[in-house]
Amino acid sequence: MATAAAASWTAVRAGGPWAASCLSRAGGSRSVSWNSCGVSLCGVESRRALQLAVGGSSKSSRRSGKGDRFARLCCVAGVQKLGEVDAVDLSSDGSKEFPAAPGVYAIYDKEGKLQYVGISRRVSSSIQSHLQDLPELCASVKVNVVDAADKTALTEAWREWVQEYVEVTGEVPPGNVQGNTTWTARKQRAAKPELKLTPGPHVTLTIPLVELIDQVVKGCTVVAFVKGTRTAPQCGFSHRVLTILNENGADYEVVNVLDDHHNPGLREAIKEYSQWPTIPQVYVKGEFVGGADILDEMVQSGEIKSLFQKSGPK
Amino acid sequence: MGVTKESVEATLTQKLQPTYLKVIDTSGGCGASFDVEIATAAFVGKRMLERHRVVNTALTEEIKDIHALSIRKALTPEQWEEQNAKTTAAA
Repeated sequence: MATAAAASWTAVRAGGPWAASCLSRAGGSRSVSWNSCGVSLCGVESRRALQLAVGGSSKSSRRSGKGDRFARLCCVAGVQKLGEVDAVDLSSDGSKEFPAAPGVYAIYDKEGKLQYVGISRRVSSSIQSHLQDLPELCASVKVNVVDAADKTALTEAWREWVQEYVEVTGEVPPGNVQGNTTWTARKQRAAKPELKLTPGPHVTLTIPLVELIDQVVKGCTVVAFVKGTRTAPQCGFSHRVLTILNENGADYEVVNVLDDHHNPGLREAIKEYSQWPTIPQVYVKGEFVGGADILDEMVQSGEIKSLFQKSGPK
Repeated sequence: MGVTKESVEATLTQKLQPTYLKVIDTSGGCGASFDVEIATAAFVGKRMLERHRVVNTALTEEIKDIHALSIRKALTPEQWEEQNAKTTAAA
């Protein structure tokens, strides 16, 4: 039996499929089935928390000795153990800086209970959106950046943390229980539709397009003219701008310049309007602020904070 | 025919007399995408938005054929010296 178990471990360490059989071999009476399903990497919007769920609420039997061996054997180099990472408090002003890098993160509530383990291509964005969506469940967070950020490495890191938690407590983090969409469901913010300048091509405009643009710009506290939509920007620069707006908690409108059905001619007209040759374009309180480079610059200088404070809540 | 790195450099040099200029072709050769870092006296007293406008105006002709122009740095000569001194000191 020892040989068979060893063979399975090798498979696990090499990133092979997580087989329930290795667990039962090692743990004897253990009957846990792991099922990391629905790993979706499709999100291009800021909230890229990958949707993961653990299958089956595992009632693992307490084991002595073997648990440690299990954890040691499963540890893949590069990811610190969950228990060894320091938690960062989230309760204060929320202006904590998290790495804008891929990694695994664990969110704890006020009682210090682990609520959810997630992975993300951009940890800072994911934590930010969790904080906005579920402030009552986010008190502190542990983060481990994963350098080799391919899907396998991220999933492996996530498994290790969830696994470690199960080893210690005998239960799956509530947010990771299969069927629980508390952390993965997208809130209304993401669903806010893009603004459309016209109802469609069947309507003849009675005022020039530039006036429509002007009305939108003057009528919205913050508006971004981008290529693509809020959830699916079709240009790297537009994506950058939307990410910056999301991360800084701006309440903004989006106009898709590529939507020729509702916004015919906008792509060129907006350049005329602002005398600015590129898209995306961000306007705050009726004034042109800039494109991706300028917003980037404002993030670096910290100017961005005052920009949206100025815009304030509606 | 796309715009070349050299033509962007030539235009900016001629119109803005930069003390520092770096143009990087990020398109992989097709001439549709550039990163620009520039320091020039023309930026003195101008906000970032105005500086970008200066560069965009200088490249009006080129921009018609460029898909993406990313102005990474737009500094005055003094700011450039300052930043340069900092990075040299750090290295």
